[in-house]
Parts: sequence; structure tokens; C-alpha cells
Amino acid sequence: MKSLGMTTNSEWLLRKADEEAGCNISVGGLVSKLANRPATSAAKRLAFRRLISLRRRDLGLSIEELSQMSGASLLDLIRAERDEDFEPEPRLVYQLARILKLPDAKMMQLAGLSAANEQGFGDIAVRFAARSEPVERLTPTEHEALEEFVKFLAE
Amino acid sequence: MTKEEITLVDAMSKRPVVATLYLELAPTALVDTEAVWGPARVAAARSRAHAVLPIPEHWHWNWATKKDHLRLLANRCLGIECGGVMQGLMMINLARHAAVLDSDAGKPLVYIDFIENAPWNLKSLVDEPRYFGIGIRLFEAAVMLSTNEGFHGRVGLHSLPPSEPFYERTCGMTKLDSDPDKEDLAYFELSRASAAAFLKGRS
Repeated sequence: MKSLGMTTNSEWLLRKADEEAGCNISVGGLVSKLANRPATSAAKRLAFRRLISLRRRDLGLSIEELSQMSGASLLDLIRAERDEDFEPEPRLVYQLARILKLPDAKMMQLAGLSAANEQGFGDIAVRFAARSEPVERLTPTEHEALEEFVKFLAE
Repeated sequence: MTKEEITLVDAMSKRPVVATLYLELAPTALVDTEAVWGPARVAAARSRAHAVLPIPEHWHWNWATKKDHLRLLANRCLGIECGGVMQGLMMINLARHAAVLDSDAGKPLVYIDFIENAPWNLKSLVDEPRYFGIGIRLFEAAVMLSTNEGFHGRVGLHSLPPSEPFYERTCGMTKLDSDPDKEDLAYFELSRASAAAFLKGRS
């Protein structure tokens, strides 16, 4: 990283430091906001992935179109919808929230990038993830594969 | 570790003293700093409580708990060291926020998540502070970082109420509405034009 280019002007510093002397400079939320970054529950991750996928489809957008509109890469978008180990960067979450018209603070919470400050947020996320699972009947091939696997488990 | 020589002001002599600005602190530096600041903060707060004096709102902050913020690539912690001890810390984010002032709306900025002075530099905690100018130096670093990132000096932050005069008057930021998502703290922003004026004032 190159030098920032901080000034060496002592006169300016003395004047500004004198102004600052009687002031507080603290910035940020109060103590409740300063907890460790929480571990993201599997349920919230699942809800995050399902939310992006359903909202995108609800708006009639392909992943390619979402990529063009948000500036996010195709790979990131595919992983955001399907990869349970994917940890999205804040910039991606904000891009998605903007294009998909979703509240960015809640999206950050679902993505595990900030702490939820509402009780029951996790439960609601689980309910959404459960309700949003598809209920179409299995194709014969899927049914056969399932039966085979269940049989294997029962042995 | 990237660092740069700067000056602070010695509170006793009112003369500049050499200090070091660290541009990217490792998480362990926060833990080390808190190990020194924490006991000093608690001791100062306790002595003020005994004397029935008000205690600053942030006295219970713990920088060691913030080290996990650095797991995010967009987060960075800067610090100023003088006399072999960390005198001020600032945590910034380069990706999460966008400007809201009309002239810059939607443009990227450097968002200051946290700033704190070492407890022995605070007039609200001790009778004889050691160094002055930590806040303005950290703010200057945020503006310069924003300039170098191509954000034209734009900076945003949510100030604790007692710090508002510093950011509005000394730093030239614009105070906007209170933010319900930030415990009703007021949001402050330095526009591109105000950043240019701030930097020009240094010459």
C-alpha cells in the first residue's frame, strides 16, 4: 500500500488539535452493536439462498440478467443461490438487495454479516426456508433414486 | 505492516510529537491494545463514578471483540502509535455504504464504523490528557484513504451525541437525520466538495 499522503503542516495540526481538545470523537453504535460477528446458522444461510432465488424468479430475471443489472459475477450469483458454503461479501449482498428490492439490513443479517437484533428472526427465516421448498411431485426417475437410497439406509 | 510517520500534539508542551500511523492493523493488535486500554478505561471510569462525575457513553467498548470484523475484506483497522503505545483506533468499511447527500447520492464512500481515543487522552476521563489531535489525524486518514480509493474523499459515520460538534465543526461534515437502524444516532457525511475544502485547509 502506498503512503496515504498525510499532511506535515504543523500549524494546521495545532489549530485542529486545539479545536478537538475539548471534544469526544467516539463513533459507532452503543455496546449492544459491538458483539462478535455471529456464526451464521444453517437455517439462515438456506433462507438467504432461497430468498435470492425466489425473488429473482418472481421478478422474471435470469441469473444472467441479474448479473448485468447488479454488476455481480455470474459465478458469485450462482454460488449465492446454490452453494451452502458460500460466504457473500457485503458488496454483493448490497448489490442484490438493491436490484431485488429487498431491505439491505435484513439481507446482511440473513447472510451472517451483521447481528439480528429482533427476537425470533431465526425462527421466521427457518419457516420461510421450509415453506419455500418446492412441492412438485417427483419424476419417476427421482422417485426411483429416492426409493433406492431409502432402501440402502434401512439395510 | 504498512505505516506512515505523522505528528500528534503533546498535551503538556502543546508542541508536535512524532507518531506512527498504521494503515492496516492485524486482529492481534486490537487484542493487544485492548489489554492496555481496557484496565485504564475501567480505572478512569471508576474514579469518575466515585467523584460523581459523568462517564462517557463509550467507556465499556472493547476493541478485542471487534477483531472479528477484520475477517471481512472490506473492513480495515487503522491505528496511531506514540510513545510505544496505541493512542487511537479507527475501524472502516469500504463496501457497505453509499453516499446519501444529493450531490453524491449513491456514490461509494469510506464508512467509519468505530473510532476511539486511548482513555488517557480524553478530557472526559482524565484531568491531564497526554496527546491531542488523534481524532483529526484518524479522520484525515479516512479522507485520504477515500481519495486514494477513488471515492473523492467521501466519508460517512454515525456519531455518538457528545462527538457531534467535532465532526460537524472541526471536520466539516454535514449532519443528516437520526438513523433508527443505528439506535437513532445521527448520520454525518463528508461530501466530495467538503472533502476538497478539508484537504485544501491543510495547505
